[in-house]
Amino acid sequence: MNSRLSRRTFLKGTGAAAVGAAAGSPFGASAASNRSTLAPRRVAQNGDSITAWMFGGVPGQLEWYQELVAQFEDESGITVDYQERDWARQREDILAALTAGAMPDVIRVHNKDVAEFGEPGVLKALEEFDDFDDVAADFLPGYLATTEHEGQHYGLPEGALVFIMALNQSMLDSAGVEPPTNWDEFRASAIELSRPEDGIYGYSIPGGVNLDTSYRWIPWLYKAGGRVLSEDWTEATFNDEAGVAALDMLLELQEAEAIPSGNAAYAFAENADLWGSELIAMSTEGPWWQNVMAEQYNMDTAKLTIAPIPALDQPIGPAPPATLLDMSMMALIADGNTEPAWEFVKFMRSTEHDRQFADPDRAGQLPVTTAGYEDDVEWGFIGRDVYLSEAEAVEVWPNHPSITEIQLAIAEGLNAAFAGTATAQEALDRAAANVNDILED
Amino acid sequence: MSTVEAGEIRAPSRVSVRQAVALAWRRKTPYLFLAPALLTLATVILYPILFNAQLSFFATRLISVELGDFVGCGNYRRILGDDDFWHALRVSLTFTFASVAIAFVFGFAVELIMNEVGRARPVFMALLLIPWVISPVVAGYSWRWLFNDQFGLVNKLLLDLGLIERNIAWLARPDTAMVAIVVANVWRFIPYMMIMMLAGLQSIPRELYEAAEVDGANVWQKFVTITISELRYIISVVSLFSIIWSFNDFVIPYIMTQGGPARATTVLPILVYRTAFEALRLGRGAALAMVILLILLFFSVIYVRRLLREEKVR
Repeated sequence: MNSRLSRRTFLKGTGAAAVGAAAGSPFGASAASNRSTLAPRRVAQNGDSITAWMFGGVPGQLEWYQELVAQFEDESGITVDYQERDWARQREDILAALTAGAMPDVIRVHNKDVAEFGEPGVLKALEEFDDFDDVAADFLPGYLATTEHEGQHYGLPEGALVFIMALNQSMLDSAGVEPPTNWDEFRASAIELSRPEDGIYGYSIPGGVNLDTSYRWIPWLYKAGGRVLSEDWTEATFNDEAGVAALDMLLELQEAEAIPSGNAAYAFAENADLWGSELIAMSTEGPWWQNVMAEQYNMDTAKLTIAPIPALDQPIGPAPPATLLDMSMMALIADGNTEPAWEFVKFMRSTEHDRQFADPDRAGQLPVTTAGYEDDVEWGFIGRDVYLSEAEAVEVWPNHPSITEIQLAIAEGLNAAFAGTATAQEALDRAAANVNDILED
Repeated sequence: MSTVEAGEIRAPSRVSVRQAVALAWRRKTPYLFLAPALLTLATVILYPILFNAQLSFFATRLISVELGDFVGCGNYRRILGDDDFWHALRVSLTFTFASVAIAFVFGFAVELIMNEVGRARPVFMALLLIPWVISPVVAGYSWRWLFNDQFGLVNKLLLDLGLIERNIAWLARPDTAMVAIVVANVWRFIPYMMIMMLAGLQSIPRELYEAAEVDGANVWQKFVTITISELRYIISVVSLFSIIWSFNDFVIPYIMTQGGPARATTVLPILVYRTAFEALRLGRGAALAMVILLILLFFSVIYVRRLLREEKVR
């Protein structure tokens, strides 16, 4: 059985981080490794060069990374062919490059890729580097564990993408609605905020056959106490009582016209367009939302409030309520130019740079090292306390080698329900049957 | 043997050898001219087909460098026993025949109008060709936004005309999503239909119409007995090509709906993509592609037979 990340591991890591941030970090310099935090080791041979594909990233972060790459090239003598690529196309790009034998040396991807690409040997296990233990000591254990598969780590964590509820405070104020804290309040608020005749809706969630859909429904499942797979990964469990309740609640809102009827055709872009046009008051998003709204939609971020995704007063699933954590990570390609690539990844993910990660002019997101939570680190992004408290109870997608196929099967089920061709139970049962086939294979 | 005698004997012999060599060269020359084209076709068409056929008998994973286990006809059995395949086949046939039939009607109408346009024809032709020359990806995204439930111009237009009272979620309902992708495909195919049939129309001798008028034929009779009759070959060729292209089309349905909602627009090429590139089951995806190839070969055989019959008539 593949090694998996337990919830306890997360609590240990992120809980300590939160306490550390509030009361002086016990994970400061003493807990960190002795490695040099900034200067890359001069390992370059004449003409050493690497290619790095950076999928996604918010606008401020991309500019900052370009500066870091130039600094790395100066200090290390290694040339970096640094390419910014579309986050949504990462899998296609990687598969195409893999088939053509034209892989880069470094990629920034999801942590869920550790099993899918780590198991067949596409990614390099970082344990093969002598100084990995030193480097690993800098990272919060819970976050580092997200990049682990069968006892080996296939990437260094970059940004902790904790899913929360993004709220348009201006719309809430106009309607006299408080941020909802449980499902009943959420239902009532979403309906109260909606004026479908004017194209205004209380809540929106992508419902198309795409990964955005499954990513935004899973937090509702987790909050209800449900999980994607059974403990031993032999069976789909997202169609249990918790899953059906989570989907039924959204279908009720769709029926009440508190969710756009067109959501069965939405991906991230359509949802963001509606939110950026202030036609949606609430959406399930994460730390990227502030930067995307400010930079791509010129939205006044004073209107943005962050709240936890509402939970049930009494969870109905077997597991404790949690929210979804997705981790971006930097990974090395196994047959790439690994030594200089490792130097590059260590430089980019150094504690010094992680301390700057929370700066809203840079990434504006949750750091992942203990140093990032020290008292003197400036946090400027909206909803810091909410993110920290939510990070106390998070759950990742199962690091299963067929996780993308599983995610798409779930999306297909959700899509059928949002399109009105199946009830919540029917749609999830059908998706679960497909996932069970995948697990059996 | 004297020299003269020998010469008398040898002379014809030398001529015949030269002739034989020349004849052989002459016979080979066409093949030499054809060789580059045949080699290219073998490299870019035959080899991929054979490789794909080989893959279809293995449980190959896309991210593995190995072929995987030999499964015989296992992939084919799995496909043919899978409801997803039959559903996608039905969707593909609906999409293809609806698109081609509607594009044909509109293309034919536009062609008849264009045939009557005088000096301004090149301008109209250039404008009408835009849907055909535009990238299908761009066309797909454009239509996706035109049919957007909140911001789309289609809803705006219908609302302004008073034909609907509220926005329609075109791409989010199974019935209207199929309509939307067919509209986009029809829009792309009309110029092709129009230009091909216009070329055919202009090759019909005017004398035929004049003779029919002398015989007292009305407009409908002239249209059926001359226009349709003379265009029948080109109509069948254009329709067959359109059927093959539409059946193979991945871009428009995928970009507009990604096969949704509720699989309503999951055409066979999307199923192949899902299987091979999203689920990474390259072997099963290859088997699906082979099945599509067989279906398209059926249409191709009709085309070739039609072509040969027409040549025989001429």
